[in-house]
Amino acid sequence: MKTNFLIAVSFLFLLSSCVKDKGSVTMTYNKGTAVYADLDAVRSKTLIGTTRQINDPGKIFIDENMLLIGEEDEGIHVYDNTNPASPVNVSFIQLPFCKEFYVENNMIYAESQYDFVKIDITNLSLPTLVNRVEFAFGDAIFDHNGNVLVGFDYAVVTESFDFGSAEELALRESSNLFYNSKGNLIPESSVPSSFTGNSESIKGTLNKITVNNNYVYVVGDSKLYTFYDAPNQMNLVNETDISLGLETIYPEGNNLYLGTQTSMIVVDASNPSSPEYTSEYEHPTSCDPVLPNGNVAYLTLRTADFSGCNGDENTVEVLDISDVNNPEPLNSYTVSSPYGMNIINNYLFVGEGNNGLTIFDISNPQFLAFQTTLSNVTVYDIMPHPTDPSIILTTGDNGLVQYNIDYATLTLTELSSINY
Amino acid sequence: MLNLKVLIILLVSFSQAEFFCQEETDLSNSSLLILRRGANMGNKRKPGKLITETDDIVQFKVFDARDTLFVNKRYVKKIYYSDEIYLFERKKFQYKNAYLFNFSWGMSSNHGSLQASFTKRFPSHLELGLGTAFSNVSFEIPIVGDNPIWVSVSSLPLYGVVKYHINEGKRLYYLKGKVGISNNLKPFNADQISNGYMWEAGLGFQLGGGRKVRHYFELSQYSTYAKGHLALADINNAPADVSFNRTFYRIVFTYGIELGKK
Repeated sequence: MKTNFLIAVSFLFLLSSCVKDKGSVTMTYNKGTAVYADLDAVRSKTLIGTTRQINDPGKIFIDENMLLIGEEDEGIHVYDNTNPASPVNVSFIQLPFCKEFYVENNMIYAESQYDFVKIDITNLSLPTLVNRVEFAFGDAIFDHNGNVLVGFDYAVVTESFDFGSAEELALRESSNLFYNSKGNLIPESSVPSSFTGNSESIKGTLNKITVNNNYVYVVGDSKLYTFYDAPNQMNLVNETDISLGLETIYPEGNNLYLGTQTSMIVVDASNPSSPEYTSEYEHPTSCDPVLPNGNVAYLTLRTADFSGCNGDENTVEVLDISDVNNPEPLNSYTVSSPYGMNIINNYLFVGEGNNGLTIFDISNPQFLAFQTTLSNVTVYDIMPHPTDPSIILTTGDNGLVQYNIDYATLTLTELSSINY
Repeated sequence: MLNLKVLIILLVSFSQAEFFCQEETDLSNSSLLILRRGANMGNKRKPGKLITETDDIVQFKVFDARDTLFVNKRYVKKIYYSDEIYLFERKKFQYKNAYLFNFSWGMSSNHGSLQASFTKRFPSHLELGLGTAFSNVSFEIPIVGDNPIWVSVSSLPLYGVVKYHINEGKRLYYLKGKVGISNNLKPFNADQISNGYMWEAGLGFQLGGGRKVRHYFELSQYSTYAKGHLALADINNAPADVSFNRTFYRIVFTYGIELGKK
């Protein structure tokens, strides 16, 4: 009996070596290949470059006479918008690897890969770098030649490997490199292009950077970065762990309203150098910005349009924030695919991407009165002109469009467009 | 791998403690008589020898008792006959010849399963039967530029079971094998999945019990196969087209219960 048992145990020991799966994979996908560069050369690049075509627009800022349009990873296009019917491309600010920027008081605050920079644009023909906080968002990843990982080039490839092979291990290492590098960067927005704000302090709802009480706040994937902003300097003073999946930030009074993939988070910034988590309103997983409006906040939840957002809700939520310690849901309105939103002339405008532009009357801020959906336009975000209330600007797949709006009929007449 | 071997050593050590120390009274060819409530004959569970059995009366010689019991059948709940069970001290027994239901839960790295089988155990130490399960096995395909692709293959396998019992002890040791078809279900992110084979082979032990339920533990090698195709959209909205074929090997730890005759 004992012999039988020992034979059986030996049998199991033999089997225990058979735990490696076998087989193969063939896949075609948009593969990222790491790109390394000399960071000193990148940082020393001159700010002013020649005008160029818009290929991949990001953030947009509108002044009374000027338009700034971000070119993802390259910099910012400068347009003279003195005549909204005919904006003119006048120059280009070179900011390698910049995806997010924000403008306030003639200063551009921008992330540039690992760094955070402040640029004075008081004289637009001669923008000057005021400050660069190096490695503000994390340490760099170097290759064997001392160059720094600055991004990934994407190309559709077909590749095959056997499970457990050297090829799979190499791919796994590259995959880990991709994620490690992303951990040190400000995440890319899930919205193709959106407004930072206008010069009359109307802010966009899809920002990752904002300024409040001489402090600049930047949302990373899970952290809130706080920079002290003095006239000729800027310093990183705090990194606050908040929650995974941070997406947007909007300041209101002494509070910062953060949109995350699973909630709206209120952060108390009454001590601006040391913001503290106050409360949270949880919702189903989705992409969403927050727009506070007095005692209520509007929250859009988007899952449609295959923009990397999980879940199955497409709604505008109205929350009671009269007690910021305890945000409560008030009402919910189903829409098609909400992206950015803004309040203009007592209307809530909600960009619905390819599904158009939806307009609600918010005379009673707690209750949204549906007015119309303009389905013949593609709108990701909306911003009023800073000085002319009859003009609104929208971003869409084909470009930036300026419209005259008739508030009586809620109809749009195109003034001009900058196609990209 | 080290952890796996430690697990095997612990399992073997634990199981052997009693295996080599069992002191069993000779209870061969014994039966177990279970009386109904109201029989007023002391303990309801009486081990002994069945002498005769008619339509109305059971004549039963109880161990450790002087007399033979003559029990009206209306007080007999059931009899585990000597050709059905191996009886041990403290009225514990193992089935020798019976139809059995098995329900079990197995787990290993990125794998889990709930299993059910119906078997016939023969006095020759052999046990044969059929089973099914709900099983899941998953794996990751690394890519560069987006989340790794997780493939989670669930299946409803149908298989034949064969067990060979190494001993006749109160703690029953056995070798076990299963062979069948995997009957794979389409993963949520796949548009195609094929069926394949599945097999499992291993070693286990079953604790003796005084009632119809017995507990058992197994360590086994499990394998199944799946071939599929996924059509995905990554975060950059570029389509990803993935074909895979994979033979899964897992070392599975299983806990189960065996249900015998009512």
